[in-house]
Amino acid sequence: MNGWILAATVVLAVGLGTTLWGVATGPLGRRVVAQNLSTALVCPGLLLLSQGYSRTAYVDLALLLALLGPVGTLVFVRLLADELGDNPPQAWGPTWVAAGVGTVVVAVLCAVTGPGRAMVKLLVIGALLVGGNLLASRALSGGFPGVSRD
Amino acid sequence: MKTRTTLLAVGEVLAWWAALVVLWLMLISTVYTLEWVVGACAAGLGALVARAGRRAAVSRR
Repeated sequence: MNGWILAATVVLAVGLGTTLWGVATGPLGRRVVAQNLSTALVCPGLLLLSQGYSRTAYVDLALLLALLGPVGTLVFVRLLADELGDNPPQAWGPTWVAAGVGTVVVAVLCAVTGPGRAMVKLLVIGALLVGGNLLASRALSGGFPGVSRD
Repeated sequence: MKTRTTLLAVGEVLAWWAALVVLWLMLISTVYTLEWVVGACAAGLGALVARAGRRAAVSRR
């Protein structure tokens, strides 16, 4: 086990553990916030694992997760619009923590990778990860009032 | 007027295509001729879909 795998283990254990607990327990608002944050935390974990095991295929998994995670949350926002409408969940603290974890991981990996196409790919993943996370959280907290099932 | 509309449409598809080809080249591991061909074709399809999607989103407002 090297430092990358250790960091990935910490991110996955703390991040995924907390979010799985949040998804499995509590009211609807908290569950949907937790499932949104779970993909935002697993993605940096996969990036760290790809560095730890020297397997670039894991980067593609992280890219897919960064893209599809927020999309899945937007589907939930739309399907649960009636249930969440009265009291939309506000979770900006955890959202910014997840965005910070993603930013730090991508920045460190960019520094290790060095300039090149691999670094651009990491930056694309980071932008999708942080941007998608913030967008999905804003949608969850009722930031797009025009969205409904009609 | 019609020529201008056509030029704008072609320009938009070309801009989408160029951006998508660059994205493709950044995301693949090894660059060789077949990747160029497949990437250019996929970016062409993507550019048409992107323009259709943008127009659908704008006209709905």
